[in-house]
Amino acid sequence: MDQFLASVERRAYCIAQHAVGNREDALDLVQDAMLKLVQKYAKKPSNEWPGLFYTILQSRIRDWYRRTKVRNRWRVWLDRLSFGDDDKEEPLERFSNPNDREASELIAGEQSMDAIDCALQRLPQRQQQAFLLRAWEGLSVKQTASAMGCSEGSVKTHYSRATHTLRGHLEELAGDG
Amino acid sequence: MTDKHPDKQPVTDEEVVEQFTQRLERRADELDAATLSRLRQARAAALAELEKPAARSVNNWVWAGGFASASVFAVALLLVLNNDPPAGQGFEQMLADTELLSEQDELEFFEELDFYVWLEDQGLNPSEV
Repeated sequence: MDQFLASVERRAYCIAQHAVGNREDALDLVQDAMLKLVQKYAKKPSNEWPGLFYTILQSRIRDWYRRTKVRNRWRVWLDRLSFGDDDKEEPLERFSNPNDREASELIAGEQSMDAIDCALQRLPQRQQQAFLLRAWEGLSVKQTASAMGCSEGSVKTHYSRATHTLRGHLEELAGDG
Repeated sequence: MTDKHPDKQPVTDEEVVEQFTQRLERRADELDAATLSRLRQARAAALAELEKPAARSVNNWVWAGGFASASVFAVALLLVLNNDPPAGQGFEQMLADTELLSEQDELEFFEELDFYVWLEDQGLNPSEV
């Protein structure tokens, strides 16, 4: 188990970090996934661990999105309750979708990441995760579908769209170069 | 997008995967020391769970025992509520019983609860036994 966790921890962190966009939450998600795998599935055959581990991690990522959404809703509500000023900036604009990195976060990120990272970061979350799990982590379509909690057909669609978009970025980069 | 560079060779799916995974691998290899340390700590904390099977099995027994006791108590409560209590043994008595139970002998009472249920079934008053 130690060897397995050591072999996936860096990639798992990068996958989580791409999904949630910040280091602390990504580390927490990976830690939760490790803990759950050990607590619940340590006795399962080791060849099942990768699929199980990424299923847990993806489930934690989905929970993170749900919590963030709820938190933002409450913030908006509290904000309206506290100030109720119509002239102010629309509260929803201040709490954008965590996966929407078209704004300032992306601009700041571009300073530290190269264009390839940014292209990956710009993908819709489901496409990004399908690409990372399939292409990088090497999970099968079935394992990816199980991890992402969707059908194999959806995985193929997400993966194909991700590859198409990323190919466009590469061709653009090659053209600019 | 490709129309802008008609002289360029189209990028294949394999090339897309290769380029992106290479970049991702490099990024994973270049993680800073603080992040790596946190990951090691997370792994150690997870693996520490493997050292606690005995404690967990004891916990499971405690949960199982608690659940069984609660079930028996619930059945007893249903029996009491579905039958007319003997004179002077109504709700006040139950309250008094609860008060007593909260003070002491809880475990003993729960262990003997099925006996009390049986007494109730026989129409006997536990206080007379």
